[in-house]
Amino acid sequence: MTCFSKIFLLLPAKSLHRASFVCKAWFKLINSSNFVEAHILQAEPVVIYLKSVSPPRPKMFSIEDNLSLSKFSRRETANSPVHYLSYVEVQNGEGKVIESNISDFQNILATCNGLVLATRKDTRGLLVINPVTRRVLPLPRGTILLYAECYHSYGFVFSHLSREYKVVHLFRDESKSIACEIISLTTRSWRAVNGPSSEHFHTYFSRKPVAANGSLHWLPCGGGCSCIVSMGIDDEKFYTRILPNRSRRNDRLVEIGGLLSFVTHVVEDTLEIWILKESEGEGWVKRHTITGSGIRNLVPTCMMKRGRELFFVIERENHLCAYDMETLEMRAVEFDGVALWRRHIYFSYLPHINTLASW
Amino acid sequence: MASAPENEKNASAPEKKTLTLKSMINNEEFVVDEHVALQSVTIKNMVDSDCAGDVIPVPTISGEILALVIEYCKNHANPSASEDDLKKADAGIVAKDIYTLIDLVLAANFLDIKGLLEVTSQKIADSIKDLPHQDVREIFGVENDYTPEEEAAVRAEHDWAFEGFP
Repeated sequence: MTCFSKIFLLLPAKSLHRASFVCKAWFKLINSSNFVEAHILQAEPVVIYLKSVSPPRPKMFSIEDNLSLSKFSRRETANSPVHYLSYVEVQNGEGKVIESNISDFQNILATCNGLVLATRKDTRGLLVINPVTRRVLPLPRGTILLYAECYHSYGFVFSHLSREYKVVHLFRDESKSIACEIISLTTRSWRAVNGPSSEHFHTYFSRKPVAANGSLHWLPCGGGCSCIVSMGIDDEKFYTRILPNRSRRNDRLVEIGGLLSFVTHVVEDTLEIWILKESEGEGWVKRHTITGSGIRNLVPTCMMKRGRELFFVIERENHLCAYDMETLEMRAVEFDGVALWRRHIYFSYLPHINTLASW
Repeated sequence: MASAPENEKNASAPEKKTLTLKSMINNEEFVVDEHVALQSVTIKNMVDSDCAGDVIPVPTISGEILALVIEYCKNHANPSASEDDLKKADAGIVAKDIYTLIDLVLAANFLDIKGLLEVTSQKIADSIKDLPHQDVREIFGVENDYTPEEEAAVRAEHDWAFEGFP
């Protein structure tokens, strides 16, 4: 069986899910936490987003129906667009949009190990879904003082110490300071924890946090940050760390091989990739410099190809580009021969992996 | 001096040693250079612990499969082979039907040859990833222990996973 499990690890999640119905022993092996964790480590990232489709397709997996709340939810007229959970897979520079028939999201907030955290439609709750196994878990929304999404920031992490998934919610409280509450997917109730100092944060949360090296990290403003704010995933304590240079608007934090990376536009047409080497006590180490015209518009998104390629999005123009860390080449990802990724700019896009992870 | 005879033995050992591998399925024998055969961690452990006689019996692996394994080991023992050459040679070895590949992966696993295990596993994964689970069941020779009722329930609950499959 250990020999076959090596083969299973190489299967994409969808095939693996199907293979789990071959016999009971395979089901047990494929869904065991050891196997799922090993599969997570070698799964190839995709970019997940919501795709508008109009008119809606005949067969859809409605989350609200699945949670048996459909009778309370508003019904759409037959031709209004429906947003389906979809993802971009890239192979040999060719982008492929894979559409699921899963719908009924307001927006996607965060991803972790193949689970997606999203806001539910109409009702103000949250949900977690594994798009491969389609297991859905509704969660209470938590404290909402100001409704607009920009006053809230959600992180989604797995604690290896307590072996549970957690959602971390930062929000502005009445005194304008930043409060923090955490919900565990095991206990499913929110509890308040000491939040970060609000001095570094802008009024709005404009950047999604990134989990790497045991912590969750925020760029506290859209631009001009001199430090990042982080929270230990296990100890839930906040701390700050100075950045190698002040951030600009299109700079982002990206997880690279488990380490935190700061991808920054230092001067016009020059971009640097810094890695945080905490364990060796080295601090920020510069790994790559990329130069070329038009680079200032690139927004770093995630690593693909086992850490070989860094993906960028040109947000306003809906282009996706890949930078090969070995050949040092940048090229546009083409969809059916056209370098254009059609997506609704209102919705988020996030790095994601397809796995059989559960909670 | 306990170590003296051993030193003597090493000194008198010929430059190029060969090993004979014998398939216990059809008694086919293969004479292989020792450094080729030692890519198998299982054989290396046997030789290192002096468990290997003149003929090393290989249980559960047929001569046909053993020949493929030896071909792989020969390719990878050749110091002048480029990475590209090896990739091409590997692709040739795994260009087989799925049943041969399953035998080959089991052989690579038993003989503990990491590289062969990796290329064969990848080829099998690529071949089965788009197959319905009934075909996968047959290929791996697995008995279905779901009752028809259980299987119907699983299918109803996970219908999207079987979309496009009978």
